[in-house]
Amino acid sequence: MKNQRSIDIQKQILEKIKSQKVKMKSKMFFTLQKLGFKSSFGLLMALSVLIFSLTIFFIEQQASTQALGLGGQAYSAFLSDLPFSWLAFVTILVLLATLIFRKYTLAYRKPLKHSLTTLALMVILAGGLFSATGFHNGLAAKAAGYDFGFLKMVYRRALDCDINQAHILIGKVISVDKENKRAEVITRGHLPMIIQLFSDTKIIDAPRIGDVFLAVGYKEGITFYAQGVRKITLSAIKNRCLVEGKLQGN
Amino acid sequence: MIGNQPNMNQFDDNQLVEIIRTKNQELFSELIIRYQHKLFYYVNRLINHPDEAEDVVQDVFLKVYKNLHGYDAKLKFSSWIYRIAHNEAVNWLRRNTKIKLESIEQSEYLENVLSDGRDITEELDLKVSIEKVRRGMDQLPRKYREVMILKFLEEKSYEEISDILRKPVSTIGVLINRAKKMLKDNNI
Repeated sequence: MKNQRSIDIQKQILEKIKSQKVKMKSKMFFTLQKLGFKSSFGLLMALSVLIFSLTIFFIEQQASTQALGLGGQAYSAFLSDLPFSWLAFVTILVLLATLIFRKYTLAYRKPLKHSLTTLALMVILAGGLFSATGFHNGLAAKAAGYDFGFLKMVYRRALDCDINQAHILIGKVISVDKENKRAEVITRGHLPMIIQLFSDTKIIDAPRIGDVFLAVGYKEGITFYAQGVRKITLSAIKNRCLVEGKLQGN
Repeated sequence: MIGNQPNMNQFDDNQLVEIIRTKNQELFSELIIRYQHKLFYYVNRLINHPDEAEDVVQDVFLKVYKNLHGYDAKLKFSSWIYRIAHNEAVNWLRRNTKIKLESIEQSEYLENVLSDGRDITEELDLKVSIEKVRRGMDQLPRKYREVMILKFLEEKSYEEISDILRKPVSTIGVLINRAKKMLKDNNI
């Protein structure tokens, strides 16, 4: 059989080794390579955790999060408000980390989805814990005081004062007309508006005079027809938009 | 040089690698002796070109020598060296795609497997000839042929095949089952 042919390549190989045509790469080379792998993997994971916690922070800050439970429009507003670009960024980072992890460890023995799920869960858990530390709140508050800079750029989304959207209105209750189911309110920039309620308007934790509220519905002139209203507490970052009447992005 | 070396049989692959790395690089010849034929058969089965297979195996050993410090003992040494051989063979196939593949050589092992009543024979038709199996394997797409060669000709375990091909163990099982089914569907 052809495969039973015998070979003897020992001599040729040893000659090449002896003549120094082929040299063994040093141990240091592989140590540095391993170190490079470990640091890139660590860096990618740390960055993923940081950005995922930032994403959670953005979701917490977006007004539409507090609108959840006030009907269908609130859910679509919440979904359209999600920080998709940041989520995509985290996904890419986790994918990269997974590929590096599988290339330099024995993780390839398990299916790709196994490593991907494990690392994604680690990022979600660590990101959730990290966001609970208030780290981003502190930095965003600091960034609010700057005119320019990297921090301002990163936290722009949270600092954004465009809190009122097509179907969401946030403001402070000035007076309440229970008989006619309406309330006089002021919104960002101290703009007066009327909130008109319906008999089936969903009210959660009814706002009283002086309370900050969030309403879901539609606007016609200075009247906002609410399908749902609730009392809310704005974060310090968002509250400044209402109190100081700051312009969008400031 | 090699004449003064101790009895090499007392060392397993990992111990030998450690000695080559730290004390005596000339003992690399022992690794060549241990693996040159196995690798030649394996590479030849993949590329079906005996003359070229010899060159490819030479390159494999040179690569192994160069990267010996990069070998991680968490892996079986044989899996590591087969992995390098596999990569070199695949690279050769990529460079020489026009060369018509000759048929895969049958091994005694395959012959035994087929006449043994072991699993594969249950799935394949017991009445068929070795020649048909040989031709059938030859016709399999490369990814199936690779796993069949490693499993039934090189007698590697699923985990070892997973290490050599860097594919999940579960995928190896799927590929082997599909390859068997293909052979069966082709009336082998």
